[in-house]
Order: sequence, then C-alpha cells, then structure tokens
Amino acid sequence: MIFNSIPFAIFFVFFYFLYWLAAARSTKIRNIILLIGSYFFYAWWDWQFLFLLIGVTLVTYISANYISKTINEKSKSIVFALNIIVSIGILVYFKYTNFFISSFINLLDSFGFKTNLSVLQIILPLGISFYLFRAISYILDVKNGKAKARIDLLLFANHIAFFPSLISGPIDRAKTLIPQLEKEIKFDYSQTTDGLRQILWGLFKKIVVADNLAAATLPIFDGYLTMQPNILLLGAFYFSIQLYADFSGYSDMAIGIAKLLGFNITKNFDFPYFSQSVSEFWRKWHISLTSWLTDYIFTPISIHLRDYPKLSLFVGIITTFLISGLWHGANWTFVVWGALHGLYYVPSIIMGTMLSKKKKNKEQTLIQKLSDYKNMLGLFLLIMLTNVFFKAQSIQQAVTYLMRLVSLETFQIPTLYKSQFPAVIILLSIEWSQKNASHGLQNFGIKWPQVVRWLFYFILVALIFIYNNKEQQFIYFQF
Amino acid sequence: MKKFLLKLLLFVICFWAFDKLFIPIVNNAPSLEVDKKLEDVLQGKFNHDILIFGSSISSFGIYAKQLGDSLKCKAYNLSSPGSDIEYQEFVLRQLILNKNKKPKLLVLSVDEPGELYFDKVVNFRLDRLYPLVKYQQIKDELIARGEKNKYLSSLFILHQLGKSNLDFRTRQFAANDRIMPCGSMINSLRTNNFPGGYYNGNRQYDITKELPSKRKKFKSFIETCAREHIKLMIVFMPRFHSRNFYFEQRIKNLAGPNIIYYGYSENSITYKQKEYFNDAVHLNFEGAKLYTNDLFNYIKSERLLY
Repeated sequence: MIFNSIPFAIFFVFFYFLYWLAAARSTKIRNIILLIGSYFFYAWWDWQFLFLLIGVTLVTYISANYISKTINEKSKSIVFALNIIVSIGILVYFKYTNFFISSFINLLDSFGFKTNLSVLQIILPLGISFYLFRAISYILDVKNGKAKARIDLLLFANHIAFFPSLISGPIDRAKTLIPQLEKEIKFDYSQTTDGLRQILWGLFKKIVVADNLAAATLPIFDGYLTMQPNILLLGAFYFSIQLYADFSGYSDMAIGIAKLLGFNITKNFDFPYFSQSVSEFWRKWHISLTSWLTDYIFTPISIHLRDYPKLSLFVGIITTFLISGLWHGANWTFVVWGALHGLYYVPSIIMGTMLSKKKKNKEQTLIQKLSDYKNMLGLFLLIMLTNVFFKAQSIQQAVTYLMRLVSLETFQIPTLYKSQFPAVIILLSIEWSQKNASHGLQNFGIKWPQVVRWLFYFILVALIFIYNNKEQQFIYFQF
Repeated sequence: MKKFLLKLLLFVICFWAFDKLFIPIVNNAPSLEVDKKLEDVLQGKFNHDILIFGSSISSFGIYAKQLGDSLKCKAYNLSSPGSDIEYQEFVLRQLILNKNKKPKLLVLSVDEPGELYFDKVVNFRLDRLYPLVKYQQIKDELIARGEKNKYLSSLFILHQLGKSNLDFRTRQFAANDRIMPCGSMINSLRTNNFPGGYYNGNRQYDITKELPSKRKKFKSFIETCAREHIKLMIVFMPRFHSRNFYFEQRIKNLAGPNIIYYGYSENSITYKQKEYFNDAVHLNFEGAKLYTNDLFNYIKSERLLY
C-alpha cells in the first residue's frame, strides 16, 4: 500500500476515524489501534514479511531490556553484539546477498575462472532499511546510556512500525516518537490543515513532478549511446529533480499523515538544492539518514582517531558516505556515488574549514547575493553530474554518459522532452519562495483570499488526478 | 474536529463543482486527433474485407490501398506505431463489440523478436485512449487496466483524463510521416543511411523473456478470430537481417495449426537492399509496395479471400 493509491485512501479514512475515536477514550487504546493499523498497512504488501517486522521488534525489545537491566558487562556486550549481528545480518541477507554474489562472480570471471554460483531469488522486504536502522539506533542508544529501555512493548512496537514512516522514512529516533506516543494527543485544527497541505504538496511532487520526469529520464538514460548530448544534459537535470521530488514528496506525505494523527516527526528534506556547499547540502538532504550516519558511523570513527584530526575526518567522511551509498542501493554505482560525495569534502578537510564553526543559519531572503547564486548553481551542477551514477545501471554506463556530455552540442537548446519543464518550474518557484518554511505549502498562499487559495489547491488536486496514471507520450523517433 | 470535517466536506463539494468545468475538454479531445482509426472502430464505421493489425512495422510496411486495389476489395491498415499485441487485441475486441463489419481476412504482423517480450517503446498505447475517454468503452478499458478507479471515474471528470488531454494542439505525426486514407503510413524522407549492413547471422529467441500478459493477449487475439470466424493470417515482415526461425516457430506453436502464416523469401535480393528500408526494421514506401505485391500474390494464389 503506497500513499498515492486508492487502497491507502480507503484504509486511511476508516483508520482516521477509528483512531480519533480511540484517542478520545484512552492513550493505550489509541496506541493499540495505531499498531494494528501499522501492521495492517504493512501486511497489505506481503503478510509473510510482517513476521520479520514483529521478529525484529521483539528481538530488539528483549535485547534492549536485558542490556539495560543486567550489570554483567560481559553478557551485556554479548547480547548487544548478537543483536547488532542479527539486525545487520538480516539487512545484508535481503539487500546485499545478490550484490556480493554477482560481484564475486564478476571478480572470478575477470581472472578467467568459471563458477556455478548464481544469484538467489530473494524478495526485498518493503522498508527493511528504515525499520532496521530504527531498531539499530535504539539498541545503540540503550547500550551507550543515551536512551532507557522502554518497559512498554506497545510503545516500542509502535515506534518501529509507525506506518507513516515505515516504508520510506524519515528514520525517527526513539526520543522523537516515543514521548509523543506516551502522551495524550488532542485534535489540533491548524496541525491537521497543515498536514493536509503537506500531503497535497507531497502528492504534487511525487505524481506531477517525479513520475512525470521519470517518463523522460527512463528513455534518455536507456538511450544514452544515441541521444544527443543536450538531451543527455537535460536527462541528468531532470533526474536530479526527479530524485528529489520523488523522495522528498514521499517524506512530505509521511510527515503530513503523521500530523493528521497528531504527531510531529523528523523533517527529512530542507530544500537541499538551494544549498551553497556540499556540507550544507548533506545537512538538508535526507536529514534523518545523514544524522543517523553521523551519530553512529562518523562520530565514533572521529572519536576513535581523534589524535589525528584530519585523518579522522577523512576516514570518517569516506566511510560514512560509502555506507550511505550502499544504503541507497546494492550496486557499485551507488558505492561510487557515495565515494564521490565523500571526496567532495576533501578540500574543506585539507583547508581545515570543515572543523571551523558552522555559519549560523540566518534567515534567508528571496534575493541573495550574486555569489550565493554562483555557489548554488555550481553545487547543483556537481550534484547533478554525480547523480548520473545514482541512475546508471553500471559504472561504465555512467562514465560513458558523462563523457558524451563533453561536447559543444551539450549547450544547444533541447527540442525534446519540453512538456516536463513547467512542472519543474512550478516546483522550484514555490520551494524557492518557501525556503524558510518547513514545506512548500506551509505558508504559500496562506494570506490569499479563501476563494483564490482554494482555487490554487483545486488546480493542484486536478493535476494530481490527471497525472496519476501510467500514460506516456509516444516517443515517435525511437522507432 | 467538527469544524475541520465540515470544511473538508465543503472543499470536496466545491472541487466536485470545479471538476465539471472539464467536461468540454473531454468532449473536444477527439477532434484534436489526426489518427481517427480507434474512434472509427468505436463508432462501428469499418466495413472492410481485409484489415491489417500490427505496429509501425506493418503501418509503414503494408500499403493497404495497393492490396485492396489488387484484390478488388476494400483493405484498411489498422496498425498503430508503438502498439503491442495487448493494444491490438483491444482494438480487435472493440471492432467486434461495436458491430463493425467483420473482415474476411485479418492480417496480423508480428514483431520479431519482441512481439511477446517486455518492450519500453512498444506497448499498450494509453495515449491513444485518453483523447477518446468520452466513450464508455475506453473508460471501461482504463478501469480494467488499473489506470483509473471505477468510482472516482464516475464521480470526477478529472479522474478520467490523462496528460495528453492537457495538450490542446491538434496532433501531428513526426515531420516526415503522414497517414494515408487507407490507414497505412508513409515516411517521405528516404535516408537509407542507417548504420550497419545486412545481418546474415543466426538469430536466437529467448522464451523466458516473454511476458505472460502478452502471451495471454496473443492467444486471446487468435481465439477471438476463431470464435468470430475471421480468417487470420500471421505475417513475418522483412527486416534488414535474416529471418529468425526460432521466433517464427514459437509464434506458430502458440497460435496453432489453423492459421495461415506468411514470411518472405530470404532468397529475394530485394529485402537485402538498403534502398527499400528506412531503418533496420522499417520498410520505406518503395519496400512497402514490393512487400504488398508479394502479399497480394500469396493471398491470390492461396485463394484466401474466397
């Protein structure tokens, strides 16, 4: 069940009323309904994998309770290590087994050895990276004394399976969600309408922008050997926008749905393409993953190597981004994508600017200095070209794609795939005007007369209706 | 919450009224189309003796007027560029349901090797359906294919529309292509300079790449013809490479023995000359005339129209 589907809409309408009826009675009943709703939501995709989700929840819960209660350091460490091994083992098995097998086959092949090994038929459970990261962070926090093991299994199970963020994040920490689950929630009109606006904006980004751009990027990347260089440049540009609109759109929907239920969950994107440096970009892109990796990968490495400041930063950054790359997908292209992002930090590590105090995030204005635009554009181009590795099927494809961009023809105005452009302009214009807000529609048009504002919302809903299908314009020349 | 629910209800009612402003778009959309084939099928306008089904390969490669004139009958090319067997089966179904005259002979051109494979560029032409969404048959098909929801479709006009409905320009074919009154297409640009020479090597066919949905519709196409007593002829069109007998055998195995099959002679030097092709898979108009003549001779010699 995905958010932009009819089954979800039907499920949510029923669930919503049941949830608020329960919330009016007691917090515990509300949490029971929430957990049943989350499990139903997950089981709709494949009920068998629900047992994996419940299993991970129980194992983590029992381990965390044991770790917090026992005073025997040795057994605490053993239980902790076993839990981490099991969690990472599950992730590696489902997500990376075939990657390792195919890499091993290719390696042997390159030395001229033949093998009978073949990839396995493994179905990747939906949202596994998200809920396992949530579970791992919890056990790490309990081990390090940053979080207390919760006695109430219901709260913990809700934290792991909270359906708005279950399959595509944000990766909330226990300290964000559990306190909210503990307390009584009252219906809040302004939070609810803001949630609806965020869902609307998320749907627009996902359906009207991302899915629409996918219809262009798919044939462009498939035809990278024959497409003209200016079309390839357009394809790289569209893909970067598609990637952002897709992921941040889904995050907006998740956060908006959580708001309808009275919860505030972690913001996941903060208009990252308006950043002026790589470090600022990563503070604004997939925020919940970045902070997870910073806390559990980068910081421990930095502390471990603190006697060698620059080396610790370099090793920490590169390791973090390699893991970030692999987290995004089981392919060497993602490893290269992550490694490149890590390498972009190297100049600031060498110059020592990475350790300098971060600039205070001042209120940004619509009109900025010319140098700001130059930085923004330069960074966007860098990210855009790096994203070719994210989209490509192989490193060879990505390199060829980028090599073909080195041509004078690259800068000619494209004559194809122009129909997608208005959606990109609408997205970027609205987000630019709202870059100090938490989402595109938080304040946009809020002071307009109601008739005008509703008309604007009608147009967005109309576009979502129209674009919500698999229709693709027939690309004639490809025959 | 009461205030919120009331406001939400008001929003939905106002949106429902706003939605009705789009009725003229639905009604006007068919008039923007150059290719009226599908609409004519829906309106039951066909009364031809021979109908040709297929993708761009038969659209450009079989000249229906020449075939009809030679055989002294009415022939029409119902092929659609970019369409797959699922789309062709849909058109055939509509042909029967909408009380068009059944053809005496139906020629189905199958694309080698991708007739039953997944193909990104040959698919179910949804963009041909959306302009005709005012017809109930089209709405039903979009719902059956999971494109639209039955209840939302009946409530909201906007839910019936697709991206192509937002383009208010009259549709154009590519610059050098045009559709002829007989339904066949012609490309006026004779470049003949596509890369590569005639490929004479052995060609393979991988059954595992077949899509069950396409296989099902292919069989359904065959069954519909049999049920409606329409004589079916499956043709393997010339390409700028040797014939793939593995593919042809696979098609024959699936379609069964009661079908007429027609390929072309590999010994004919004609189909090894670049001047008869627009590219490696499409005949140009000169090539189409030659192939249509071969087809005519075969139909006549086998007395397929009688």
